[in-house]
Amino acid sequence: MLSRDPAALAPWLGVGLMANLACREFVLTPGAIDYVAVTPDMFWQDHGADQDPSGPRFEDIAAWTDLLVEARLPQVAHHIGLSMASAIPTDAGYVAQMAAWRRRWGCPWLSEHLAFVAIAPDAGPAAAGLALTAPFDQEVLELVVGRARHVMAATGAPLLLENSAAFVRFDDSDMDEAEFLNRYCEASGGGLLLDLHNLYCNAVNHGFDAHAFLDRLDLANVVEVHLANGAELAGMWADAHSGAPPEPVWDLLADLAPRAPNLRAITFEFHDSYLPQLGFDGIAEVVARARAVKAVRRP
Amino acid sequence: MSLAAFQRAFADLAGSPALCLAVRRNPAALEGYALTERERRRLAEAAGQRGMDAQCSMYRVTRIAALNSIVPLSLAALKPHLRELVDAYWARNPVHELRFVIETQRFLDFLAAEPGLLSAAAGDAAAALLDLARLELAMEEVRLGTPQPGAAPLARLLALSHEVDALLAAAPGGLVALALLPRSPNRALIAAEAGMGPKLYRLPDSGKATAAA
Repeated sequence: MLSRDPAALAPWLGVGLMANLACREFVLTPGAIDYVAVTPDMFWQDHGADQDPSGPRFEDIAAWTDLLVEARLPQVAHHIGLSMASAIPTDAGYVAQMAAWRRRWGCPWLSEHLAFVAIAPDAGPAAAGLALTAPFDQEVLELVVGRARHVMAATGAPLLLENSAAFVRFDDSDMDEAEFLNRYCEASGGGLLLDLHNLYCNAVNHGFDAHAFLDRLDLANVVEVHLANGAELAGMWADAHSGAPPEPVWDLLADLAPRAPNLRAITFEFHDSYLPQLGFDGIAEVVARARAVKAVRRP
Repeated sequence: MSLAAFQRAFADLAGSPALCLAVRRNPAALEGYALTERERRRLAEAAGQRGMDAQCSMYRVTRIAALNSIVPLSLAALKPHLRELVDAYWARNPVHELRFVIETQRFLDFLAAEPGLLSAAAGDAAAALLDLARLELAMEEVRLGTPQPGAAPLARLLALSHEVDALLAAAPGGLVALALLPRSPNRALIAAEAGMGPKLYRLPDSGKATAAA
């Protein structure tokens, strides 16, 4: 039996980079990458739902959108402002902006994190200060699935859910993370953005076998992968986007890729403050190695 | 609304090592939240995990990074005293504002409204420090709002109590250098045209504006 493809109409993209202005020269080099991954929230100013209605709530930051215009590369949108697991109501204006951005740039899919940021419905785009993880409960699953269905209907694009790095565990959750992600895909029709460094963080911090986690995941749901590196923080391993992926993350990619029939894109993400250590040569090495792992192209 | 209360309490724990310690000592410290028994038990257990220490550290890094992206020179000058200042600010404003410019404006308003706190941290440099921060904030506002081609130029006018060039020159020297600046009421104009980054102009009491260093 053929497995479900959560992004059946989307192209096979290849290997890309999470765009930031520091790597502009690299992004604009022909053939350096196959696509750009973009956090749209960094490319616009959000004046908030309480903005004077005579003016636009969202406005481009021209220096950033100019990069996308010049690059002329396929783009996937990786959002950080939807607050997927938040218990407060969905920000309708934000979803409308997701749809507008998707139409404007032709993104084949959108993605968001399995986390919550928004905590105060009466305080504008107010937040917890960082992305926090919720327990893997039925109640949270229903909330996330409902929000994903709404976003997919509004945007006309598949919504990929990204697994988060969690410093704190809730061991009495209704289900474990793999089951939660499998059930999200089944119930919503969406797919997964599997962040292999987040998985590595959780395996290191909470003492489990990341490869066994892959065995429990329905890998047909994986459409995109994130690669990154991290750093120690208060005795835990944190997803710091601090350079080339460590070897265990490459091992996870080698394990995953042959078993993920719908994997279309591998994105390398790093924070621009680490560019001096990494350099463009370092980015090129990561891209070349990812390209060699598995042809992320139409079989 | 129980899940919402749970998430708010979890976020408050991340933002407050003091609350974590209080919950570790006595889970009754969570009584102010409308939680189910299961949620209360979970949060009490979570507060004791070593990952909660990392989560609290990440909270601080994230909120400071937001301010640092807008007013880096001012934060660098305040560095020896930043911990006390942000602790007081976060205690008053536990909910983070995702719009960094507004978050920074709120922080500066807080400092201006707490002269005793700022003076304890910055001493004689307090007024110059606030000027420097307002200048950095205005520069960033204009940079973010650089107009699209065909749109009207964007500008901000600032009334400062220190001379602009002197402020920027003294900033790398920290609070010691800022404290030595003489007061010199003046105005600065920050403007951006389509396709151009922000430019800073000194405005003398009369005559033509000149570009600042």
